[in-house]
Amino acid sequence: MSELVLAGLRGGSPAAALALYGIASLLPAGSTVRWLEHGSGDWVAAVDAGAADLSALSVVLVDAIKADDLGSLDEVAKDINEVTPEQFAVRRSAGVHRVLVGLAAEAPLRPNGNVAITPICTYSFGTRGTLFGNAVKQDASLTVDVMRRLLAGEGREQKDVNTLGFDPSARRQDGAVIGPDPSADGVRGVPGLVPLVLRGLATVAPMPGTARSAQGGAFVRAGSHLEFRWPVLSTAVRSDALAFLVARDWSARSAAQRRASGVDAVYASTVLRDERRLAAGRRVA
Amino acid sequence: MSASGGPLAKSAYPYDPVRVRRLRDAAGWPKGKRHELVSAVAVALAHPEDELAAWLAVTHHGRNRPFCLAVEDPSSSMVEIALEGREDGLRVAAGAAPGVAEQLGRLVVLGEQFGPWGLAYLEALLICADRAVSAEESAS
Repeated sequence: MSELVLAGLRGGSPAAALALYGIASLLPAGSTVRWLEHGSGDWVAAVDAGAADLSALSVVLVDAIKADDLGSLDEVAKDINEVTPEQFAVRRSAGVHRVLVGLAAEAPLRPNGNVAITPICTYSFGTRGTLFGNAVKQDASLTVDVMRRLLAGEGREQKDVNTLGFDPSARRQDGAVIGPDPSADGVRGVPGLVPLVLRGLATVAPMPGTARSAQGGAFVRAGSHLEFRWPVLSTAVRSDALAFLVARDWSARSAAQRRASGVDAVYASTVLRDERRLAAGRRVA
Repeated sequence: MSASGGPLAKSAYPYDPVRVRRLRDAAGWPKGKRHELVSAVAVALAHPEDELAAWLAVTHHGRNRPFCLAVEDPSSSMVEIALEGREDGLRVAAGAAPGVAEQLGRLVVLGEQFGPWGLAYLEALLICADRAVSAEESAS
């Protein structure tokens, strides 16, 4: 038993939930993940991957991310509407594939024979321009120390670290505008978060709906809004089985079913299309 | 088998919902609870190395995959289960059910071994055999 507490990932944050999913996708076989109750009504992530401490775990995660060569994703990012099917296929290495699955709800063939990769954020947040570029940039600048600080809760917001709208706690860096992250450039985010979040998004990749809105699984229609909902599970489960648990709406299940399945709480974050970001998490069950 | 020696899982009588409800109430068996959950726990205890047997025991009615149907069962009583090839009976809590980590672990391991369709095929095969045996027993 070498379970490590990741104090930097809180259960009530959509970015932290997605980051934990991303971590699970990068861990070796046999690893387990869960949430630990921390104080009243709050949780922190916990991981058992055989690593002795957070530094060792950070090495494992950063090595896995670096092995996911996103360089070819940068090529795709240059013009995401003009990718031939052959290029698209060739460029889908394991790492690129995982990120594309998370970012792109679909990749329809256009009349000119090219593939239009439509990022999920287009549906959800209305952004696309620098999405792939930001993903590659943050992968490239990732270090073991950055990862360790993020996991330990010692990460500090920095200028020009875009969170792509996934972290509601991020703020714009312009001192004159003290507001939540609008998903645009000029955001103060915590380094290391986006590489994990994007890989985690692949675990709960939503399907596009008929009205150009992505829904299904963890993405739920709530009135006129779309919500990302995630379970807080206190039972340690295999990291490679996590998708079976998290890619569904647990708020729609009975309390008895949630208890039996190890789900202690369910949180939701509204997709704020106009603001191009996720709202702060709130408990719904 | 129950501790008193009567069968829990199979009935010697044709299906009669009124009779089933009366017997269920008399036995203190919660409505909606599947006996397969207890069977799966027993199989896992008897054959811990056989993930497929425990998985099929719990899923072969098309339910509990991957999450076991939750029915509150406050009973602390034990049931004794007779397994073929094993002389001593296994005593298992009446409220026992495979945990979520067990279920998900089996799904991943067996899914890699047989593939999702292969695993579904094995589940279908078992329920067909189960129905065939039940039909024979009813006929006799």
